[in-house]
Parts: sequence; structure tokens; C-alpha cells
Amino acid sequence: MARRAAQGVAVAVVLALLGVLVWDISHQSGGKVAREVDKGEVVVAPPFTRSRVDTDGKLSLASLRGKVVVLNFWQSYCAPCTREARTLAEGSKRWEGKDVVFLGVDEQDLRGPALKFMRRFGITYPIVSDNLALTGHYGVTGYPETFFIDRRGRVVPPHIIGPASRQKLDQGIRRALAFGT
Amino acid sequence: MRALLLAVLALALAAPALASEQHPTQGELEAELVCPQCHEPLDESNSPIAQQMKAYIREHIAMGWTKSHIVDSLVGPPNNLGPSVLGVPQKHGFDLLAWVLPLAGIAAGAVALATGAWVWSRNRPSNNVLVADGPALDPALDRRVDEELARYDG
Repeated sequence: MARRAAQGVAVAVVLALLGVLVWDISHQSGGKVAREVDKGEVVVAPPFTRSRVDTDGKLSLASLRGKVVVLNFWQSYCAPCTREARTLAEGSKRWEGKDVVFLGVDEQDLRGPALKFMRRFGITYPIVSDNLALTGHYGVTGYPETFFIDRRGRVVPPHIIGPASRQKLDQGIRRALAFGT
Repeated sequence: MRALLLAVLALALAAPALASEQHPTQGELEAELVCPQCHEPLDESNSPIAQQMKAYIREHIAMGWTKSHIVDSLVGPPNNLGPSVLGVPQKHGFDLLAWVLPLAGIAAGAVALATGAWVWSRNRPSNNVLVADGPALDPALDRRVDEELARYDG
């Protein structure tokens, strides 16, 4: 009788571990967003709510629905990020009031150096902090990378890998504006 | 008297821990934290984020922050680096399992060992039973053994 019970417990433990594994795999988007967008597909943007770096409080992607979002992944200690920082800062001002918002995701960074970076390059748009979870969800493979999200909350091509130029930025924003209409 | 001794011992053990909490050193914090990029202890890493963290620790020790305050501010707000910077699992939430499971495993092993030993010792036939069950000596042979042994008694 005791032996049967022990066998039952062992089977239950194995099944539970299997369940955890399946849950873990099914909840990983595993970089699908970047991959699909790079193939020219339109993908629903993984939702998120993160703490803000530039001010107190949190910001959710859902709160920006109805606007085109330029989603930029960066780090204060990433050299290529410094090369695009002014372009982004200038771009955010140029597109202000045109249903376009810039949103930075500061990955695995300390707040002090991040704020210093923002002041140095004149970045005034909202920045949220993340600890690699969004990197995984969006399929970011390095920094910086930029995605364009249309008014309906979908990531649309192109996806910029590496420092964004003014031309690429404007192109992406125009396409996202066109997708959302 | 015994209670007093125990109290003194507890105080002696608690004092260094309290000192470490109130006045942490750069070395101990760097040894207890991990670089979130390379997953090496902070004192062995030279990655950019590790250097930022070392500078942060230095600055906040100088400001008089406690050890847990510094660690909490790196893991949670405002820096939000997450628990991956901790060299050891946390003692609450899911991470608690990392502390509890080994102890539970040792306890379960000890119980299994004790149970096995108890069952084995109960099932093992005693010496008396072995003699009783052994083949009986032939009476003539038995008598001869007695006679042989009697020679030593003289």
C-alpha cells in the first residue's frame, strides 16, 4: 500500500515538473517579434508595464494605444547607442504632436548613469527600465534596436538593428502611420 | 547560568552580522553580488554594468547606506536590475525553495535511512534463532564432544 502511494507521489511530481516545463516554453515568445517583422510580417506588440527612469511611476504600452510608438532598446554603456541618441532626441521633437511618441527601454542599467546619458544627449521622451524580459519578448539581439508600433498596437516593419539614422527613423514612422489608418 | 551563556554566545554571533549590515564593505558586497551580464561575481567582473555597480556600491557605502538598503536598491527600484544580481537565492517567495529543498532532502534521506535500518534489523534473524534452527548434533557425537571438552577441565 505504502509502495503504491510512493509510486503515485513520484508520478505526480514528474507530471508537475513536466507541466512547469510546458508552461515555461509556451510563455516564451522567444524572439518571435523581431523574426516575424524582419520577414515583413505585422505582429501584435507584446504588452508591458515598466517603471519609468525619467520620472517616478510606471508606464504601460497600452496607455499609448492610438499613437505610433517608436520603441528603442538601449543601454547607457552601449557605444553604438551614443551614436543614435541625438538622432532619436531630435526625432522625438520633430514628430511631437503628430500622434507619434518615442519610448526608450533602458535594459539592465543603473538609473544614475541612464539619467546622465539622457541629459547628455537631450533625451526628453519617456524611458522605462527593464531587466531583459522585453529583450526576450521582442527578440532583441543587441543594442540599440528600434521597433515601430502602429496606432493599433502592432509591430510593423522595418525593424532597425543598430544605430538609427534620421532617414530610417522617418521611414519607419511613416510606414507605421500608414499601417494604422 | 546556561541561559546566560547562550545569550552571550548569541550576542557574540550576532554582533559581526549586525556590523556587516550596518557598515558593509565594498569587498563583501562585490563578493555577494553578481554581474547580470556575465554572471560572474562582481569582484571578478569588469563588464561595463559591473563597473557601474561597483561605483554605485562605493558611493552608497560612503553615504552610510546599510547593506540591505544597497542590495534592495540594486535589485528593485530605482535600479530594477532584478534578483539575477544576487549571488545567493532570496529567502522568500519561490527562491525559498532553494534553501528549503536541500534541507528537506537531507531530512527525507535521514528518515528513509532510519526506516530502512529499522526494517532491516527487525527482519534479521537473531543468534538464538540460528542455533535453534541449526541441525541438531548426533547424540553420540554430542557425548564425544563433551568427553573431549572434559579433558580440558581437569
